[in-house]
Amino acid sequence: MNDTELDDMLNKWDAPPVPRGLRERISQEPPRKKWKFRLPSGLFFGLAAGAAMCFIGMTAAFPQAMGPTPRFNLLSEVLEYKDDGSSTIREYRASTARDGAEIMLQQTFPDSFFMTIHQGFFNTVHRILGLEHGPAPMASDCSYPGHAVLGQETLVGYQTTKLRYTDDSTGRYTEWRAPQLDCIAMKYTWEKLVKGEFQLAEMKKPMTVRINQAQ
Amino acid sequence: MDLDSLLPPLFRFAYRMTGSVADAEDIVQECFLEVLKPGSSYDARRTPLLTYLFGVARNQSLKRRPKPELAVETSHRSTPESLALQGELEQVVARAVTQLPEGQREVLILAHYEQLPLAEIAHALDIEVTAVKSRLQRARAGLKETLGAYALSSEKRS
Repeated sequence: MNDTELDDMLNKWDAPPVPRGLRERISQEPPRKKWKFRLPSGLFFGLAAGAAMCFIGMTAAFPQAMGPTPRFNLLSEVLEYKDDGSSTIREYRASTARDGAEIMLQQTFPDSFFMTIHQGFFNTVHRILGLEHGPAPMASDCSYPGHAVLGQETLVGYQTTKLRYTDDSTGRYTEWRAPQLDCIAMKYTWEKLVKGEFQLAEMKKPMTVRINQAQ
Repeated sequence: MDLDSLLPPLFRFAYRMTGSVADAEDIVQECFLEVLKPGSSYDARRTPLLTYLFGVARNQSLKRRPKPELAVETSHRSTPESLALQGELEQVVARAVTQLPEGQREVLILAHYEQLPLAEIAHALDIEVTAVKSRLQRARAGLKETLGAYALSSEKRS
């Protein structure tokens, strides 16, 4: 038997026509497809990135709008000192405090737009999640364990307690905390230890305090 | 592709796979339920609908294997006395095809009766084209033997 003869024989087997009613049965009640909303993954990530950028932009532009109005705003600047003693302003800062913890409202880095945006986002997230924690329980004068009380000073109209922590291997940290302003560190200095001597490396200086109207 | 163009080839395929009109109807229904159900794996960008449905029909058919002893239903049309011989031949061919091993049977039906290209058969059955070719060759060789023997004996009878 050759291929043609086989094909001829196979063709003797006809299939019956499609039974009447089968078409109707299939088309009558098709199962309803549940509507399922699925974003293409690219679009999903695009939207997520867009939302994140929008959030970052908002937090950077209106950082103080993200939460209740704080009782006060401390405006300050943070300077960095080089080994030759010269300094540059690293950042301008608007902050408030709760139980001794400094809560950043806005940080502006004159030399780094990226850092300004980054910190705006970071600080907002911290504020919303309540991640700021102050030092261990503070006394009424803002002193707390591990820090020596060096005295009292007045800064931009507010009395402060001067405290110091010294690490024999790295340097010493001095801070001026204001009892009237929830023990915020209005000023601090970081002096690093270089060849047995303390050398000023960083300082936060208060510029002004604004007391906000209670809401 | 609309329902009217999909139904006949699907039904024919299911019928030839099972040898039963009732089973073929059920299989065709199952095929459409499968493609319309939520979360169906059918992807129009990857597979032509008919090819996909052939694949579903094949799987459904394998769940309803034809019994070797069962006569294939070929009584769908009246067989006058003068066509008795043709009726018998149809039965013989049907039985020979349905008694082929599954892998060969499905390939032969799709290739010979549905004229599906080898690549599409491979896609529908999820096998390599080379496997389609070899199964088709074996199926045809087997049928030549079976049907050749029948042809020889019917020649002797006449």
